[in-house]
Formats: sequence, structure tokens, C-alpha cells
Amino acid sequence: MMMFLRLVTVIATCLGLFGNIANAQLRIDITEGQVAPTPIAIANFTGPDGVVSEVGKQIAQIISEDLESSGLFAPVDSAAFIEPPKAPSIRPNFTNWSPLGVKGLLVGSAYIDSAGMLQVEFVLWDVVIQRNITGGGGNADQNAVRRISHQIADFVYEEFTGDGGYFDTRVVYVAESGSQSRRLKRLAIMDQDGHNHQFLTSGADLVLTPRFSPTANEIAYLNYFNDEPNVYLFEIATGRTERLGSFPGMTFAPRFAPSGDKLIMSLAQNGMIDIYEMDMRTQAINRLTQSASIDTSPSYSPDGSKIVFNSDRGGSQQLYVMDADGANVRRISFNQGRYATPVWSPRGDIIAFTKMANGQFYIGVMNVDGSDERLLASGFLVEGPTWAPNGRVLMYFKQQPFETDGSGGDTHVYRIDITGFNEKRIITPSDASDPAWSPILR
Amino acid sequence: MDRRSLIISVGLHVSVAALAWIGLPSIKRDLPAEQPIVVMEMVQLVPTTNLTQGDKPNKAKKEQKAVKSKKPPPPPPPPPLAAPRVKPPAPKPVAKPAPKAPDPKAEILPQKTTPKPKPKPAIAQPPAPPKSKPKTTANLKAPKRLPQSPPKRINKLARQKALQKQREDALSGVMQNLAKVKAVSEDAEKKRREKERKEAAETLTSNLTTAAGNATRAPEKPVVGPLGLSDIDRIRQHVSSCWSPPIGTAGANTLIVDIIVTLDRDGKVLTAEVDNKMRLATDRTFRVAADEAIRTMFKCSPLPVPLDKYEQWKSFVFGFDPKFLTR
Repeated sequence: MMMFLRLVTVIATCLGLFGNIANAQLRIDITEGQVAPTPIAIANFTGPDGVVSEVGKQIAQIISEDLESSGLFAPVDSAAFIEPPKAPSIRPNFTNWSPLGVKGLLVGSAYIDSAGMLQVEFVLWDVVIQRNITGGGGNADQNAVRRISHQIADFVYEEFTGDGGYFDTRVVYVAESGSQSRRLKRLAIMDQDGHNHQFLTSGADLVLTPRFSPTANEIAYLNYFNDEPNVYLFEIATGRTERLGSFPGMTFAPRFAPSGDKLIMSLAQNGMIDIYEMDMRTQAINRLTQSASIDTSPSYSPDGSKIVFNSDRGGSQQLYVMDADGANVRRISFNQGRYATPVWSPRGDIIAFTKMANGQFYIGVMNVDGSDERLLASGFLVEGPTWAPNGRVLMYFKQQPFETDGSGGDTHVYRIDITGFNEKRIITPSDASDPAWSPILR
Repeated sequence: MDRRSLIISVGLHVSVAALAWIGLPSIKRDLPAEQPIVVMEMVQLVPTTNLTQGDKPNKAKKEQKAVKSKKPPPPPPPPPLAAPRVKPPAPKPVAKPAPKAPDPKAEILPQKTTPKPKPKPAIAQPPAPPKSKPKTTANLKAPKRLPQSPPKRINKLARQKALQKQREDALSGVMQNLAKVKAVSEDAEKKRREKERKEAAETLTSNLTTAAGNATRAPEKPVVGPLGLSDIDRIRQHVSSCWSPPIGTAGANTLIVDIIVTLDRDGKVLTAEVDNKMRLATDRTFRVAADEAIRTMFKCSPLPVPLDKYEQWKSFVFGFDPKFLTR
């Protein structure tokens, strides 16, 4: 009996020990959260004297607008600030900022020096952990206030989301004006927020499907001159245009390879529309698909090893993926409806597309294997998705239906987060279609 | 062959019957004898420990049999038995006065002052539990059993007394005196022991080296209970309300961040560190997710932890898992 009691005692002791160990490793999994914009304080930038400067106010305003437009940040009104902005070199008193409920605090200095250069410095603080997250500074032409502001906003965006920013980017699109019977279409370019708008072509020729080069310095597009499609290259810095080639018959949507040394497009030759690649240096073309079907809208994967396109080879218009050399073609879309204009995400994880089903157009995304299809936007006509360089925001154009009297048909550019939230229209001087988002500017 | 087998069979049956006839009576006698004791003492223990009810009964019953069979001296039982039998309905009044008196005595006892009282109470418990167990079980079933048991108890108790008297006669007078002394102070000792247990539990929980004491005490302060649904859900909900998951981030389903958190006694977050620090340097999105997880912990501070169980909560791991965002 004594042995039994001893045994019980030993077992109980062991259980007690293990129990204590288990307590030390106690784990609670958090599998739900609050999806809400990150509250952040953007203080007006100060001048060299520590007082808020005019350009500092402007920069803080642009940064706030950038972050707020993303839908992922909620800048706090500066009127609620307890502590006036201070120079970035001064550690803030966090007890004056934490009551605002903000997670981050951006402070900085900005002024025009005696040489007429814009001098900027900034520091991003984590108000909760009370530490310096990131900081930076530099100088630029005083006309580059918006770009500098966008770049700082990108820093903030990156530190709180983990994704690269997209504020220091531009968008090229087709500006439309005039009646539907005599539609004037011109290339236009603007910052991602609609500022710094500029027309690139006169409108004398019909232009379609502009696409940025990987360096964001050139734009490839289709120019119909005398009803003949030509692939042109537009150099943004100089405004110079170069015709890369003229292809009899229909030509569609030229798009740069990630390497920038090739263009991929679809050409109608001998009664068949297939996908071709063109060497930018030699202008030689190479046929990648050889089917009796219509293969269009090719788009490279970020690493250039794959190409996604749409084809009706299966009886209806669906999405296909193949190797960059045209081998191993496989269908990835199998749901109801027709799919078009696929665009591979810069992150490489998903593909955006236009879908037509049940009398509606949709903008959606799916995994590269065709799984997990999600429709983000819909409308009478929504089409032409293009990715922000960080791969989490899409831009596209949406056209309203025409009225019986011929009015209506307004066409505008929108953007939306891949979560399906925060759809916003980009304000343009006229109707806008077929946008193309640039990479991050350098 | 048939006769032999028959004889053997008959012999075995007879022997089994004889053993049953000899053994069963004692078993029957013990059981009824214990029941009345249980009823009486239960009243005293009810107010002190509810938590121990579920843990001690099983062990107590087994130990009771063993202890009683080994301890014929229990001449003390008579005094308590008399009281319960006569006043079955009035156990409460008896119980209340008793606990107050024993307190002072309990303090006087030298056992408590010794530095190693913890292991002692744990070992000493076995004998005590038998009495406490019936008490707890009796409380729950008291109303039904009380009316039925009285008549049986009297008969069985009478037999027991007779047997016990015979045994006591055989014992030395010194032993009898000791037994009586023990019986008189039994109630006080029980209360003392209960207090000692509580005190020991409090100190033991703060000292890992007294794991043995914890093990025996664990039942009174359930380890699993506090970590159960109510507390964990409360904390989880609280932290979830502070967490902004990395929605839309590439590979969000892989951004599972474990944060090792230490708390002070008020539930305030003292430290929050990432478990997988190696990945911080190589994975930017993971670093951002980790920063957000750490911010969440400090933003949620203090946590709604049960303050009286600090030892169980002072350090633990929060796993921030955003897999739910992938769909």
C-alpha cells in the first residue's frame, strides 16, 4: 500500500511539474482582427527654425492625401494634435500622441535653401512601441514637392503594410472626347492621384492600349495611321516617338517583357490571330502560339518565364498560361462566362482579368493556377485592369450605359484594392479609358 | 474423474462462499460505518472548499477504506458519530462554531511553523480526505440518503462499536488515551489542515521547487479551469479587437507571428518579443507583421487576465494567425 501511495505521489509530482511547464508555454492563437485603416499623425514639416514652413504644410498635406486615398490609413486631423510639430531631430513626447490613438507619427523638416533647392528630412515614429521606425532626407528641385511627398508617403506605406508603395508612380491612359461617332482619343499621362496631367499625343491618330516599359521611361502603344495599326514607342522625357513596326491586319495590345528587351502582342496573319514576341533591338518577330483560335492579350509573369493570355480554343474565351517560349499551354479558367485581358500581378501570385457573364462585366483576380477567383468590381462595362507596382491595387476603366438619345456612356478610370474595398474614381479632364500603371519612378 | 472434479468444484465453491461470508460482512460494516461520519463532517467543510469536491472524492473513498482498515484505533469516531446521529438536520449550527474554535488551536500547532509543511500536508491529506470526501458527496446527496441511512446505521454502528470495544480492550491504555486525544482535536486539526493547505498552495504556486506540493494542491486551484473557455476567450477577444491583420499582403497566410509576452501582476504587458527573430532580418513583410503584433500587445495592455492566477499568466505566447484573410 505504501508503495502504491508513493507511486501516486511521484506521478502527481510529475504532473505538477509538467503542468507548470505547460503554463510557461501557454499559447493563445489570435485568428481574427479588426480590418480598419491605421490611424496615423502626419505633422506639418518644420523649417530650419523649427517653425512650420509653408512647403512643410504642403508636403504633409500631400502625404496625408496619399495615405488616406489608399484606404489603409486614417490620418488624424492636425487640429487634434496636443503637441505642436517639432523638428525631426527631437524625440517626440509620446504621451502627447498616444491619446490620439495613432500608431505612427511622421515628423519632418522642409525648406527651400539659399540655392533654391528643396531640403527635406523626415522621421517616422512608432507611437505604441515608442521607437524610431524609419527616416530619411535629401534635396530636390523645389518643383518636385509632390514627388518628394509621394516618396515619403511610400516609406510610410511600406513600413506599415509590408508592401511597397505606389504613390510615386504615374498612369498613362487614353483620353477620350467628342461624340461617339467621331471620338477623339489621345494619350495622356498623370500622377497616380490625377495631378500633373499631360496629353502626350494630339489626337490626330487613333491610339490604343498604351503600356509602360519596365523602366517607366517609354510607352508602347498602338497608333492607327491611315487605318493601319503601328506599334509606337513614346519616350516620356523627350516626347520623341518611334515606330517599331507596321503589321498588316489587326494588331492587339503590345506589352513589354519584364526584361524590357521584348514586346509581346497578338497579330492577325493568314486568318489566324496568334501571339508573337518582337525583339526590341532587331524588331524581329517570333510566333509563340499556333492555333486556329483567337489568342490575344498576352501578359508576362514578373520573372518572364510564363505568359498568360486569353483564347477561344476551348470553345469559349478562357484564360491560358504557357511558358515564355509558347510551350506547355494549359487552361486555368473553368468557371462560367468569358475571360479577357489577363494581367499578371507584379507580385506574381495572382492574375487580374475582365470577365463577362450574365450580361455584366467584372474585374476579378484569381490565383495563377485558376483557383480562388474573386470578383472585385462590376458594371455595364468594366475592362482593362492594370496593376499598381506593389501588386495590391488595380486600376481599370468603367463605362456607363448609353441612353436611348445617345447620351451617356461616360467613361472613367477607377482603382480598387485587391481586397475589393476602397474603389475610387481618378479625376481626369475628360473621359478616360485603358489605363496603364507605371512602375515606381526612379 | 467426474467425482474428483465434482469434489474439487464443490470444495472451491465452499471455500469461495466461506471467504465471502467472512470477508463481505467486514466490507459491509465498513461502508455503512463511514457514511454517517461523512454526513456529519460534511457540514463543516461545505463553506470552506467547493473546489476540492470534485478532486478528492475519488481518492478519498479508496483511501478511506485503506485507512480505516489499518486504523482500528479510531475510537474517536464514536464522539462524532453520536452528534450526527442525534442531530442530523442540525449540522450547520454545529459546523459554524467548530471552525472558529479550531482556528486558534491551529495556529498553535507546531507543524505549520516548520519550513516544510507543504509536503506534509500533502502526505497527511490521505488520511484526512476520507472524512472530507464523504462530506462533499454527502452534501450533494444528503437530502436523499439521510432518511434512509439512519436505521441501518444504528444497527451497523452498534455492531461496529461492539467490535471496536473488543479491539480497544486488546489495546493498551496508552493507545486508547492517545486515540481519545486525537478524537477531541480532530475537528480542529482538520480545519488547521485546510488552512495549511491553502497557505501552502499560495506559496507553492510561486515556487517551482515545490512542485510536489503543487501537484497535490492542483485540484484546489484548477490549472486547466482558468485557461479554459472563459478566460482564454476573454483575452482572445480583447487582443483581437486591437489587432489589424495584414490584409491584402502577399502571402498573408504565412505571416504567422508568435509573440512571447510577459505581464506584471496587473496584467500590464511588460515585454513583447517575436519568437522567430531569424525571419525578421530576411522577410520584410514578416517584420511588419511582427511589429503590428507587438503594437497590438502594448495597445491592448493591460490584458484581462485573472489576477489571482498570476503565476499561470505571467508569461505566455500569442500566435497571430492571419490565415482567415486568405479567403
